[in-house]
Amino acid sequence: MFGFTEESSNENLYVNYLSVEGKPFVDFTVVARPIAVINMKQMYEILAQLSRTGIADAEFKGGTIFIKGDDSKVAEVLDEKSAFVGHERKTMKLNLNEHLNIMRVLFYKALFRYAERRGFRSFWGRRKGGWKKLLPLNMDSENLAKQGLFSKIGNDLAIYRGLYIMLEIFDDGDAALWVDLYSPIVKLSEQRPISPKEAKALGLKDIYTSFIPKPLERFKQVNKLLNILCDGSKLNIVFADGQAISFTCDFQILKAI
Amino acid sequence: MIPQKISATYIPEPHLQFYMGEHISPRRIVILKPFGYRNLLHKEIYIKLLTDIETRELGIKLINHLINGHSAFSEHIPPFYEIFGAKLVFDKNSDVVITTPNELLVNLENTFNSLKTIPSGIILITLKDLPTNVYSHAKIRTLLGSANLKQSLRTQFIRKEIIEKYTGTKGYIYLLMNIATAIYTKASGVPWKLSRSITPTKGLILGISFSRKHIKVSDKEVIYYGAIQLLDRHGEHLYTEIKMFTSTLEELSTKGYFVPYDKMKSILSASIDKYGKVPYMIIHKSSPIVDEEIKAVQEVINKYSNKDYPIFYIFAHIKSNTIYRAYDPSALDYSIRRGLMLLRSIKSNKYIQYILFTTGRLYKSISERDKLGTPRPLEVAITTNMPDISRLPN
Repeated sequence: MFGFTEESSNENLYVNYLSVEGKPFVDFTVVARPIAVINMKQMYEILAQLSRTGIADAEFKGGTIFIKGDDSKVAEVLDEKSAFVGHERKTMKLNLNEHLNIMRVLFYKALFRYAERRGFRSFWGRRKGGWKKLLPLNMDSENLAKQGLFSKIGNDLAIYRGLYIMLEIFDDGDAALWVDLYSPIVKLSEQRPISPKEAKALGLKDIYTSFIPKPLERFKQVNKLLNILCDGSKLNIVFADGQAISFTCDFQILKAI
Repeated sequence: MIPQKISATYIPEPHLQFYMGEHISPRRIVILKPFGYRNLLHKEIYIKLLTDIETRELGIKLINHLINGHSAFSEHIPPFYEIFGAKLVFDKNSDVVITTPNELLVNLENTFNSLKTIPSGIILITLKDLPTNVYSHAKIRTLLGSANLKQSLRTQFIRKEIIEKYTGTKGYIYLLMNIATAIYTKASGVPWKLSRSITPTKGLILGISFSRKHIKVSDKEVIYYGAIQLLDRHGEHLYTEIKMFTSTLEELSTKGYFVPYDKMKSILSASIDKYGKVPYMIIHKSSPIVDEEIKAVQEVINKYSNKDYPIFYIFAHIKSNTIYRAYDPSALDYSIRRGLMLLRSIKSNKYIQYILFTTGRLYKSISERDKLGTPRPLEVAITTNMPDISRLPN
């Protein structure tokens, strides 16, 4: 009843992060321009649109807008509606101590553009620095169902398998992209994940629990989603200014000592 | 060879010290007897059952199984007295109070009053629907009265759904075992202690956790509550107290739940004044650490510390909602072994962070982990004045 055996150590383990090639955040340049915001909400909507179309990835902090891409176009579009962008422009290398959050936001914008072109819908989540979510909502659900990544649980409800994503940037400019399985219940007519509170109110707790995967299943499903997301063995994220950051598309293998 | 950003190692779990020996598994209490065996030997623990009509029979059956022992699917729990040396006293004709969710609070207080003249009593509450306000009330009452056993409300809540879920499975034996251990502990018994100290030398462990809700007292000001718990270096409870904090809504939205500077200083100073200067203090909290808390901790430690008697501290935030996972392909179901720790070789944050798997396969067996889901680790973010911890592994 209480017996257990001791085996030798030195086990190989998979850990759920993708390794970046090189140290891309050591030399991360942007164009910085002064900005006076008139309508914050509208400005962010325009910035999201500019990023989606690949014109520029941009983020605002204090009185400065940091742009990777066509800064003239950003100034032109914002000037018309929601902010005044100053003429002064300087190309600057972002500093890890000072601009870590700017780097992260610019990266996620580029990642979202890339993921959306591969059939994923992206979700920012409540916190800017927190995890992001990718769901394969723009892909053929029958095909996803065959791979165990989509299960209909009602007329207008389905469980989708997607990805949580979190970029970690180290003090030396190295980075890791953490990925885990995201399994929300999606309201199909509205193409949106419902909250756990909504799911509970709809009496879906038990059915949802039956879809919680054990480790091997989770491992396989995340890898299937990575195969859809990646291009071969690489995940290449290209910013609107052409800079690319490349990750290996496999979980890291670590030897436990 | 390019050094890894992250390295993996296993942390040995401390064994548990029982009355007659030590072992890694809490279930060994059946054979080795609880650590405080002699303290409650032959003593009586009175049980009152507060239940709705639907759960009455299940509740009575469960208590009888605790008293007399039970077997299912080759698993067995001996009678309570045989394991713990203390006797459960329960009469199904006089110790059962029928209640409803609406009457529960009043019935709970009345039952508590009826137990006040008895040296050791526990109220077992088995219900179909458990009102969360009553549950919170009972927990706060327990904490407030923890210094005095007779004034402290001792309760054990069990939902009907849980009893039904495990009835007829071997999980029912584990449920009984867990409830039996909880009852023994709530009756002031010590089931086990860690066989070795958590701290390398004499030390204190101060834990701070917050209630989930804050109360708005004006347009700007809010109040919220924190439980302060002090343990000795073996993890044994010294005291718990509830503190009320005030803050502005704006501060709370940017900092999260925090202990204001002056309060943090007084909490820490009070624990050192009461339990003496120790060379090692661990302070951990459930919400992220903020700068004013660090400043307060540093100032108090510096005040009590000197060249001849330095005091070292570790101030930690323990985060449970993390994105990290690990998989062990040598196990049939890829489940990780409990005790795995992942360390970064380079910082990515102002704190030193450890990723620690406190759930997972036990020991080194490669069989499947018979549980739902995938183990998710905790992340411990620390700030410290200990030079050897401040350096990260290469």
